[in-house]
Amino acid sequence: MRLDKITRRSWLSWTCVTILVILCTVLALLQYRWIGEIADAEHGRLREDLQSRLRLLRRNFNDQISTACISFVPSRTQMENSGRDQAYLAQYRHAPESGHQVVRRIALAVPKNGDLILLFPDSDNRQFLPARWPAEWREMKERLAARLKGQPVEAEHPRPASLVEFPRFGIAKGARPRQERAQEQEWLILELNLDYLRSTLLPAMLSRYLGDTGKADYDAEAVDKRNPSISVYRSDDGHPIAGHADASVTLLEVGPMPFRPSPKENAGAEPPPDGGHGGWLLVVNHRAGSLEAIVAQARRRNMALAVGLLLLILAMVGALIHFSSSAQQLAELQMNFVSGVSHELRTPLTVIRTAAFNLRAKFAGQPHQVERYAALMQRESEKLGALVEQILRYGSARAGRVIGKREPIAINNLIEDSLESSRMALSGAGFVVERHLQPDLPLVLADQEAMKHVFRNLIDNALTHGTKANSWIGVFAASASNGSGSAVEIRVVDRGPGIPREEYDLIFDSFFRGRRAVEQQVHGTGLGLSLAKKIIEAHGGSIRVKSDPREGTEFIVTIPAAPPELQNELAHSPS
Amino acid sequence: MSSRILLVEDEPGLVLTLTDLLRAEGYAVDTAMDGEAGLTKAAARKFDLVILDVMLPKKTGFNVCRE
Repeated sequence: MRLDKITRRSWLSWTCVTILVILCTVLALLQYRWIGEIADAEHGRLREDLQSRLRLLRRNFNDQISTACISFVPSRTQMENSGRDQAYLAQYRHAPESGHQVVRRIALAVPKNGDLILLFPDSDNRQFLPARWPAEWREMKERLAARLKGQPVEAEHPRPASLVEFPRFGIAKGARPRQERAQEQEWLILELNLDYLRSTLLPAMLSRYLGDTGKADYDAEAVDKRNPSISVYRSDDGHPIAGHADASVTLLEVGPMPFRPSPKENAGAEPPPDGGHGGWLLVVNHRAGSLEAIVAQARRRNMALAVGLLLLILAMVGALIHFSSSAQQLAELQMNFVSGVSHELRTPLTVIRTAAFNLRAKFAGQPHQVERYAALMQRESEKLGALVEQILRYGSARAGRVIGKREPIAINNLIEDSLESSRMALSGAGFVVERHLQPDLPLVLADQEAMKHVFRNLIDNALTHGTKANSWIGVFAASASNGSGSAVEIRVVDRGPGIPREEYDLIFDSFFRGRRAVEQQVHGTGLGLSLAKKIIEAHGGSIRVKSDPREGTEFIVTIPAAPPELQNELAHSPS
Repeated sequence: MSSRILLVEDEPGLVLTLTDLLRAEGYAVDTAMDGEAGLTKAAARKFDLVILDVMLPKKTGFNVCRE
């Protein structure tokens, strides 16, 4: 029934453990999923945030350039009052400082005889003088020519990044108002100061919109949109942004766009990154590589934390199982001890009681019978006495009093005494004792009774566990040396079945009994060797075992010798 | 003819005293020191009563009884 209970309990605890492990696994899976979802949401949020910052940057950047450009365009009234050239020149001269920073020079493109003539202001800005079209303005010329013919221009003739043209509309001579579409009479061409834009304005914008506490978290790069291999700006110690970008916007969308609706930025619909007509493309990437990398890093950190916590829980469960199972083992051993000891106590008592009964009832009246009974009763009483002593010793050892007063003793006398008290049991079982005790052994400082208990126990063990087929016990004492000085080594040897290797460490544990002893119902408490070890260690000595299934078992006890001055003193004393 | 009793017990002291006791009561007593010897003896001849110790070497009393 007890076994049933234990089995049921262990089954129950294993079920609990299994459920715990399953719960942990489920938790881990849920955590994995949720961390993933959080990471994805975080990624989306970061990307959205970055994109909206870039949109603000774009608007502000473009606005500043547009404002600057527009300051160069004279009003219609000025145009009518002072004439075309002078109106442009006056406007140019009086343009604000910020305008001159953005715009490097101006020019007029005027259609004449089906051609476009380019006019630059002279050095004093007093009048326009015709000039040749610069080579890098060729595209602008083609673009304007196309517009002059009324062709759509945006697709085939993109504007060079550095140039902005402002048309002036007028009604062609001879055409009736409202019938003809207003025609472009001439164009004011503004050449932007790209150096200023990329070295001053763009970095200022970037640090304003992307800078976080003064230090930008992002690598930014602006490239020529028509030829992305041309990099016009790269943030300080920024790495080239190859292929991948967290967000991008177009820049330099300046000037009137007569044939296109302006992008509705406020409507929330984001223009495709490269959809604008601007000349530059600004791409931005997080310093850590990319937003994905940032999010993945945070995700990994969360993951590691979660895994760590789960492992901690599992480790705690493991520790709990370990401790509870060892507690259970100890409880089992103690239970075995109690039943074993009660059997050990009862058997000699029963023998003594039956013997006394037989003697009284004259069932054993012959003298030889009486003698046998007396011997039997003596032997059983001694057994009982030894058992009681062992338990009492164990009790006081548990209470911390392993040994009592130590005095110098000759170990050989002690061994002889121990053999003497086991003599009856030994001869009764027909054992031969081979002893070899070195005569001039040094004295040891020992509690005589405790030490005697140790040797009686070792001899008893040899007797109990030795085989009847080979009834031999060897007791040897010799001088030895341990680490710190001279010592005495005592060996108690039997030719029994030996101790299995896996029990070497266990036999010195309290309550432990070997598997064979339990199976074969060999009497014992499981306390003897643990007590012996405690007593010997209290003397500063050691006990170890050597065993071989073919040869038997050997217990080797080493006890340090008494200090030399004590040896001399005793050697010269009269006793 | 007296009744035969088989005493299976591993403690020599008890074997001695119980045998004397039972013989004094007029029974014929046979003894065995462990479970297997007990089984052998019980198989060899008929006993009126078998007294079995439970804690026996080699085979417990319950196992002997079952066989």
